[in-house]
Amino acid sequence: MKKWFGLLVILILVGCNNGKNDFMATNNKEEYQQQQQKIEQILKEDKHVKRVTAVFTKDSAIVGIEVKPFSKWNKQKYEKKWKKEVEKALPDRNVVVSTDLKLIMETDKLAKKQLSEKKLDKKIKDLKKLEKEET
Amino acid sequence: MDPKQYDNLQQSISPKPSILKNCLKAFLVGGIFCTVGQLITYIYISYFNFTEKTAGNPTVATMIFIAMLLTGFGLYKKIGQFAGAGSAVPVTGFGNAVISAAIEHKTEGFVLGVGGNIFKLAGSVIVFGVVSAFVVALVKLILVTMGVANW
Amino acid sequence: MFVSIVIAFIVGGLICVIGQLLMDVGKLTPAHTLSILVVTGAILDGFNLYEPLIDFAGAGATIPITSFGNSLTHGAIAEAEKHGWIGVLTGMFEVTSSGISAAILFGMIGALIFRSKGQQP
Repeated sequence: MKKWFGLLVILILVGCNNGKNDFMATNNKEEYQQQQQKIEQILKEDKHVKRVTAVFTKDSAIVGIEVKPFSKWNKQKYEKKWKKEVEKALPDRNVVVSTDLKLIMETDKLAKKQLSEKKLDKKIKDLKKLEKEET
Repeated sequence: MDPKQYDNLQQSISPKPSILKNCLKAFLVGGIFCTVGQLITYIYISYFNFTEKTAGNPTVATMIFIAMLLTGFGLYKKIGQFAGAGSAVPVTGFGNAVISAAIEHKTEGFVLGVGGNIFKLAGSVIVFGVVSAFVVALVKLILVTMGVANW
Repeated sequence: MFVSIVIAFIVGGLICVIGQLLMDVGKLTPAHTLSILVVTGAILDGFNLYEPLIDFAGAGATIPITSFGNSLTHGAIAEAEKHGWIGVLTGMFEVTSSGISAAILFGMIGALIFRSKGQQP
């Protein structure tokens, strides 16, 4: 009896994963798979990154990087480094890279919704302005 | 008995507050104020259009509003008696200093009483904050101009 | 997120413990202690150490009075970087006003609605 119960639990846990990538959440469009892989490659190896959320369009991209709590001391330094790397990986786009919690939350929301490319572009431009605010 | 002998006698009899206990109480209450502030920050980030960078301002304003309520109902005094620095160091302590001064001197009129006394306790904080910020910024500016440091 | 809240609790508590030690061991008045803490915040920002602390501890670093000194200095330095000497004066209250404005405003409102000695109207 116990054996079957244990097997059932394992099957449920395996089933729950259903191919979702826990490290990176994106708006999952096939045309941008290549860019997605590139960004994932850059950031997956970094031991300071907890998770990434990214949204791609033809002309722009927004990458929100959640930093592990104890690495947050150097958050600004890492953000500058990642910004350079992402801009190098996506040279033909208007790129926004941020470690700010608000931008990560908004990017998560954009990744879940299915908006048109134009609306996404506008949203990304708005978030870029939000990031630059000082007060 | 000469003054010094009396002094020693008084020192030996009066109850000594344990520094360790005071520090623990300050740690606890100060930590709680900051935790409340952190939760308020998360609320401002999640439900309003503030980023991590800009959420500090409304958080501080909200904490001072809370300080106003605690001061007005006489609760902040009790917290202060328990926690010492735990109630004085957070911005709520600054708010309490200003607000309690305003309330106490209301009887002397708004212009002379409230207006004249509102910064009695908090004035040193603002004065030394501004002066030290000026000196630090000036020194940094000089060092950068000389080429010794970077921004 | 839970870890961040614990870090805020600990760092904020520690800064208050430093204040308590200044009062108990250093035998300083609250006004002296707070002034020292504000100046410390200003100096730490001069060495670019307070902003990383805010990134690390969140409200644990923005709620204590030390963040006041940091804000003033940060504004002054940012403006000096852009405009030189005069920036040191013009930049100071640019990002800081919420604390002081709120304190004055709520002080006035408190004086209007609360009775002296902490009694309800």
